[in-house]
Amino acid sequence: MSTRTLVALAVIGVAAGTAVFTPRPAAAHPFGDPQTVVITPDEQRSDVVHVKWRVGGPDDLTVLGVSLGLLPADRVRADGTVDYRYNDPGVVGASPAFAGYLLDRITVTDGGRPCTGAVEPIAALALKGATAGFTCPGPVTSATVAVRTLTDLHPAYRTMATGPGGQRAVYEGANDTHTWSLTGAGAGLGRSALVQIGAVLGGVLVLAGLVAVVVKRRVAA
Amino acid sequence: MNLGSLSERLQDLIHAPGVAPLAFVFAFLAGAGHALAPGHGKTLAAAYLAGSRGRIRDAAWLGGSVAAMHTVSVLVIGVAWTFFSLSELIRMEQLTTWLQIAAGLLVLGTGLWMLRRHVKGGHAHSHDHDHGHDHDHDHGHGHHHHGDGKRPGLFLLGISGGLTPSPAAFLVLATGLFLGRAGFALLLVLTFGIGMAVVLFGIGVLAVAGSVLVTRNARTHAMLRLATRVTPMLAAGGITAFGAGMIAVAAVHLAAPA
Repeated sequence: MSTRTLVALAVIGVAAGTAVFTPRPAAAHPFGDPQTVVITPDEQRSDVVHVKWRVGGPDDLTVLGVSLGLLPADRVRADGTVDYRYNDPGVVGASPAFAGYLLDRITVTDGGRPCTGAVEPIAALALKGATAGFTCPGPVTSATVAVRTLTDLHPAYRTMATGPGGQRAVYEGANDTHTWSLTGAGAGLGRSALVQIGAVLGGVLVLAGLVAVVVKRRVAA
Repeated sequence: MNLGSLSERLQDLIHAPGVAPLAFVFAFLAGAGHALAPGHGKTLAAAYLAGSRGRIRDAAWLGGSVAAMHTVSVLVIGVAWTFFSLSELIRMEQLTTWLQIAAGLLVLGTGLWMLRRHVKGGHAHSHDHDHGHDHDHDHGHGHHHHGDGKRPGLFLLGISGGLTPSPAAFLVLATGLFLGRAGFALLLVLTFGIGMAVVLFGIGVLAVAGSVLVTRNARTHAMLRLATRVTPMLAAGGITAFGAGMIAVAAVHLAAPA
């Protein structure tokens, strides 16, 4: 009895003790939007493609700034937490090194012919992102866009990409190139997603109903 | 720890051809690992169950409501982010901080409710009649009088535990939505939630077993008798403090420049 009693006391003591002494929030890790790019054809010029890049969490820009040598290295602590300040995006956005990074990591080709990129003036980098215009040798109807931003910092980074007419793609380490139709052939992903989610939720409801019926029968028996 | 790499793998699973059974094993393990990481109301659940002398069934309700709420929250935020330009309205870290404040309020409310019950009712020997059929059929070793009105509190704690989605689960769903594999992604998120629920259930069972042992031996041990009387107050106070702490931390986050 005494060992069992001790175990019981320990369980309760630890439970109550930790509840009292560690008020920790549910998520200690930063939870930001994923990195995104939006691909749009230029409305006036048929040989120009715009790629708008937006960072994920605010700490990602600080980490990028440190890796580009624009911010002091001690902003990334030994335990991996990032000391990000609100003027970090301004420092990173104003630097030519960042524009160079963007044009190095995002490239556009039109049927194998490279398009020349230029970063447009940046305002509110963290909030609105940065846009690069790519001028191709001739009018483009489909563009092959490669995105490798931030994967040099950590291979787990993903980029959620949106194109004309509701096209969507995901860029990741091993899969960093995608060809977009610029004439806006919609893929109808929204409806397909609705159908799939509806099917899964319906299945779960049916399953829950069956379980409820079985439980009721057993209780009644 | 390789918990991080497990949730990174979770994102890769979405590419698995067809609906791969192994993907579900990984999703389950990632969910269990996520629930073992700091936070997520494990201590809250344990304190609650020990403090209100819960039953195994209560632990199951708690785990279940965390899993359900987590899935709902990932689904709503994922769909809003992908199809309704949620990010134009609010930055994700702001949204999740607000969700943490909401979760903190739920926890605080539960704690205060428990405190009030103990202060008002002295010792919890009152009987309540609100859920007709479920106390006739389970026999908790002669502790019937303890099964009073735990569900609302458990539900609130469960909901608060699942309100803030885990980044890994959100990314899996967003990736699935972008790739046109929404159904598979949702199934993985669901499995992730079940993994979380199983861990929380296990911890709940430990707390229940512990408090049942203490109550059973209380008659012979003066110290244990004291423990049974003090634990509910301690747990209620702890949960209240925890809720206040959650709100404070989230509020500081919100006030800090981003």
